Amino acid sequence: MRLITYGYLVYLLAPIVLLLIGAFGDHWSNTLLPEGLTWRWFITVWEDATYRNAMVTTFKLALTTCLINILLVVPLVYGVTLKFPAVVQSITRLLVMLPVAVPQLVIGFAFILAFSTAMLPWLGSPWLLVAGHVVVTFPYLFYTVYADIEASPLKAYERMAQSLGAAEWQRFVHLYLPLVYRSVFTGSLTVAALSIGEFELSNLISGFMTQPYPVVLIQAFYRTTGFACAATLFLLSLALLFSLFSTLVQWRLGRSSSRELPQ
Amino acid sequence: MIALESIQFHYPHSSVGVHDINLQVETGEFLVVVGASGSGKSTLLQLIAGFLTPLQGRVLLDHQDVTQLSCGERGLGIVLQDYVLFNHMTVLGNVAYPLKVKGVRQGERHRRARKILHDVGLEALENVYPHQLSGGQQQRVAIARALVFEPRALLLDEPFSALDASRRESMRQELKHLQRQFGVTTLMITHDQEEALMLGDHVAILEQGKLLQHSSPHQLYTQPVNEAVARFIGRTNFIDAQVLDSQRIETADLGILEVTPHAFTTGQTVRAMIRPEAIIANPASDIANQAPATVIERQFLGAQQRQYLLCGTTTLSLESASMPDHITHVALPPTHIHLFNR
Repeated sequence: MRLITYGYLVYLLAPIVLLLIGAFGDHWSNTLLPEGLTWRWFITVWEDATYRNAMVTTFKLALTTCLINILLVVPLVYGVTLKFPAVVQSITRLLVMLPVAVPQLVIGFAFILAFSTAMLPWLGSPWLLVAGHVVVTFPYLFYTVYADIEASPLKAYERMAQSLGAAEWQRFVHLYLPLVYRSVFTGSLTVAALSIGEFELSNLISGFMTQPYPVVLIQAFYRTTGFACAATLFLLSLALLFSLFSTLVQWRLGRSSSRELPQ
Repeated sequence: MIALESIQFHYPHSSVGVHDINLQVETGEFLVVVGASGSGKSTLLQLIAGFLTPLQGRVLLDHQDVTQLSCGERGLGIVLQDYVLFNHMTVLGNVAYPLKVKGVRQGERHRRARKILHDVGLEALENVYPHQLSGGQQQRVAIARALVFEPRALLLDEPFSALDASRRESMRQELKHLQRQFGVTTLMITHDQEEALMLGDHVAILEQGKLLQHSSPHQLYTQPVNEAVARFIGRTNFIDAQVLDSQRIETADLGILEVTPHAFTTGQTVRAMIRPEAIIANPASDIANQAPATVIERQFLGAQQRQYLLCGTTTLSLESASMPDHITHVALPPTHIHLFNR
């Protein structure tokens, strides 16, 4: 068992190690390892406006995707949990799951078909890219929040607060939001991580001026090995940063919830 | 005052519910509705609370028809089985919450919440969270929250079921005291007959959605209207008999028994009931309805003793604080014998 675990770790880490070696190698061609040690590939990537702009676009895209997801998911989960009839609940849960089940290539083609017409000529616009990212990341936030709220005492709270005379908006703000904010936060980190790394759909629907980093990154592979490795490491660092941040936040929330919630 | 008029309710595709319930709780009164699981007592509470709407009949609060009002509009204080305290709020936050949603300013609502926390003896715990409290303390917070906005009535749904036996007794006393102190009209549901008799000014018994009897605990115990009530409240001896005339019945093992005048017809088969503590062991010779008896089992219950006696083939239980060592005869005083239809 231990051997399998170590083997799996090596399998995961080997490409990262190779990227690191490549990014710091001055010259790597027809040799087992690169020759020389340099920072210049990182500087080159950073000085390239295309890559820098793509990084900014990716950040903006991830942030907007998170915000829109939060604005959609928070009230939707409230409705699904408390307001919708059982049949509508089931249908909603099924529909929300669709973007996970359907290949992103299919979603991308659907976007191209729908938004490259004279009536809806939005293909390549930044907001369509945001919409695409919202579609593919929505299930992850929805199910994180939904699972959390299903395990919470929300229904009992609602009933009690109703009997105490609380209006719906008061119940939403005073009871639902405090129950849900942790999972909204952790779910949003997942959404951001997915959005930052999303390539397939972005490649199909992003415009020339709004290409996110993973789409631009593909061009790096036509340049020198060092440049390609350094450019990839930028994306990898972002993903690792989010993973670390997410883990840290979950650990902190877990600790605080174990102090606040009933044992 | 709470009044239920011909309340009818059943759940969709089911006959489970409550049927033709007429019940009144006077202002300041403590009514306990008692019944076995599935008797409809929780449904009844939900109908009064406004969580359910009756299919027929009316719910009145202080003579106002509230049948179509939402639970929030009814102005009732409700304490549910598991208290449903808001875990992210402190004790003070929980108790002040009903005032907050009614728009009472913070200073005023905290003053009122602190006063009621003082009344329930929790003023020192206003800044702690519900999970840091014991079951009894949580219950007191729930009661304080239900009373802080001066509700028209207090509804309690099996409030002691989450407590262990040792805490239950003291919390019963405390609840009774608080109810008296606040003078609030109270309706509590429970499956515990002892709790019902102890707390209720009046007790209502439900069975299969029907109200069997609504009377004082004493009347309920001494004059049950039917066999089901007699069986549900306290321990009872039942003896099958046939009516001889308006003051006598005949039994297989105890012979002819004198009873108080009744309305059963001659020859009708009836079931006679007598409480264990009403049976007299080794009675004086002038007491009616005597029969020889043999002790088959003795049970020590602390303050009481229980003995099982065999009279012919009929087993009777007898309870008393002081019991003779040897029992040869028992007497069943006529005034303690109640007759029911079989």
